[in-house]
Amino acid sequence: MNTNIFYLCSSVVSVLPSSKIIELRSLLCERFPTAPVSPRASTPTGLEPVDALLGGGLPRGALTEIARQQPAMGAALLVQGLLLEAWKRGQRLALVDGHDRFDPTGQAAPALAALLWVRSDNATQAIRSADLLLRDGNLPLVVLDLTDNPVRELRGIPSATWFRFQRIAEENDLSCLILTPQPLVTSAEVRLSLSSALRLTSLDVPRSDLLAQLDLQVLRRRTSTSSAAITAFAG
Amino acid sequence: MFACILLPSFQLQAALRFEPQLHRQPVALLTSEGPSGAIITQCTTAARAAEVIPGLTASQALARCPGLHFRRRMPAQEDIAAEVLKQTAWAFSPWLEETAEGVVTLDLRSRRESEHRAWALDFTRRLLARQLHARIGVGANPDLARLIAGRAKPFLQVDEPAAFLAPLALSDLQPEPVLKMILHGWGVHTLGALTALPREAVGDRLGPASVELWDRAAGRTERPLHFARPVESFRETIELEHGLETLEPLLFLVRRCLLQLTGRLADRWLVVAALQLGLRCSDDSHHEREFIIPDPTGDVDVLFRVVQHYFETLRTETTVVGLELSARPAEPVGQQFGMFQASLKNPNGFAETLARLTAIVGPNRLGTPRIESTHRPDAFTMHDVDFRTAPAPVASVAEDSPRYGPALRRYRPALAATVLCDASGRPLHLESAAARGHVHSALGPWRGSGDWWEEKTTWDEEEWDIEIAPGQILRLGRSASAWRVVGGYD
Repeated sequence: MNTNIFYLCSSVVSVLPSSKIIELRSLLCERFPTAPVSPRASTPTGLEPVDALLGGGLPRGALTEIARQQPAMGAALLVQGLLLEAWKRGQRLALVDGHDRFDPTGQAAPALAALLWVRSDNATQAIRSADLLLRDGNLPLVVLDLTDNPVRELRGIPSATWFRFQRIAEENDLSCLILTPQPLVTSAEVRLSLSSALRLTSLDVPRSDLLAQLDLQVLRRRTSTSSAAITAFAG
Repeated sequence: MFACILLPSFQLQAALRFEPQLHRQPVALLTSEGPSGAIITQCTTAARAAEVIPGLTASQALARCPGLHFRRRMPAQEDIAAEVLKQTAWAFSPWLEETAEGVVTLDLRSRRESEHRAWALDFTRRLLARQLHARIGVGANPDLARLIAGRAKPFLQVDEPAAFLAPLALSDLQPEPVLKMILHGWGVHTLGALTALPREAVGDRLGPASVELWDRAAGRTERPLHFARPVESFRETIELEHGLETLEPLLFLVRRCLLQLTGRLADRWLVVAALQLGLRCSDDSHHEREFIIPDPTGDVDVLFRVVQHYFETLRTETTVVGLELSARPAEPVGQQFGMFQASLKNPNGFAETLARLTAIVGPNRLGTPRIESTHRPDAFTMHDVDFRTAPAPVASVAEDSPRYGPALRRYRPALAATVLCDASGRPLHLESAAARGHVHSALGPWRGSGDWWEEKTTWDEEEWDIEIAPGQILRLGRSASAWRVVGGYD
């Protein structure tokens, strides 16, 4: 019994920090009130609302989620815009289409040469495909479009998947944009909401104007000190 | 000096090229010729040690060696083994003659005599890597070199032909049967005994053929080589006696073929730019597939993975009984990444990823779409991704038709719908799996038709853009009085 008490006391003593360490900690807290955060590099998208809102583009080595809670909010428009801008910049884009809904005839024919289109039937195929493309690391931007997948399918995706995606994107230093029908990606560095209410009259508006009027709001930004929503443009 | 490279038991070696584990086992090659059925024509050293000799029937051979393995001739593999021999020899000397099946003769005029042993051993090592065992003989003329090669283990150089030839049996020169019988009748059994006779006297009595035989026995024949050039073909084929039903043994053979192909190409300082795979099934059906290697390589692991992912999606009706793999060679090239251009960092890794993606989503569900030259809705074709060259940034976009409005998300296939229309045909109410409700506003009709000259592909469609509720814009299509929801704007 005495021996046990002795071991207990000695372990408590070793765990308790000494006064010098406490002083050092308080000194560090005074000089550096917040943890230093190195600015993350970004992949410019060429879309003014996105780049302005995110400070230059989609963060590299991280996941960006755009939640489109209603149809006709501009998510497909955003994908078409991303593809066109990527082509203009001599970049390539991988689109993992969660429900095979992408319309290539809605894009300028030459720009399609910059696209790798993966036509999945369900969320499981889409997740596996995105996993492979992220691990591959050859394409700087991977877009995973899950907006049309049933919510039941998306709820079946374990949260560990998103953390794995985050880790792979970080390792390969590439940008991953995930479009979802509702907030879903737990490990997203930035979560945006898309709420550009498009009407039938929008069909006569040039697409470049619609892209410039995209209504994006930051719902969450991991490195941001403020959680207030920032409105880029509410046309 | 001349060198003769001889592949002993050539047909058997060709048949066993992809079964190196049998090289030290008792194996015999059977042929269907012979009055009493299949007889043995060639056998391995282990079989010979068990007193299995050519001319025995299969049952006789099994009585002498119960563990004997049998193989049949494989002409396609013999052709490739002969090609491998020529290609390997070509790397050592351009003056090359294909003397016989599994025998080539080289003119060594450009090589120093002191180097003969070194290059010959290097040659046998290279052939051994191709699963071929060679014997090399070096002599003053081509015929003498061939006789020497028959006794090399694996290399023999003869500088004193008379001493080497004298003890050899007369049958080693394969004389005409009549000549052989007469000489044996004279008590001449060795080449030394023949050359001991006066050349002219032999010729007077037995004719010109005997003079030629005497010259060969004395090692004096001189003849020019009939130069041959190997074909620039890199192909490996395997014929299977028993069909393969599962993937693993097939992949095992594919890997062995790749090892051989890359080794042969490496001998020529080349790498693989494309692979052509051919499978023959027991119902005589063929499967063929070409694999373009984005970044030409000689790495077997990379090439193997490319082929492996294809096999994961392949299903055949019957067993596989033949495999052929060809490589298109290319010179290895270095790649300089551009500062502003987005070349793929690892093109082969990307090709492997594409193959894996194909295994997940299926063929024709992955790639780059190309819009077809038609107004038919949703008309596009899928093409293989070609990201090998870096795309150049585009200074200005000259679109043939500027895009308006939000993008469409298509339903594939389009959803059946019930639409109530007014007297003018304008949609008033929609019932469908995608949406239902009163149509607030509609734009249309947008009519289109085409391919009326083709019965199977003709199309005639009317489209409407409708808004059911704020933020719910759909495109409807009607053909042959049937309404469908084509997609939704987003």
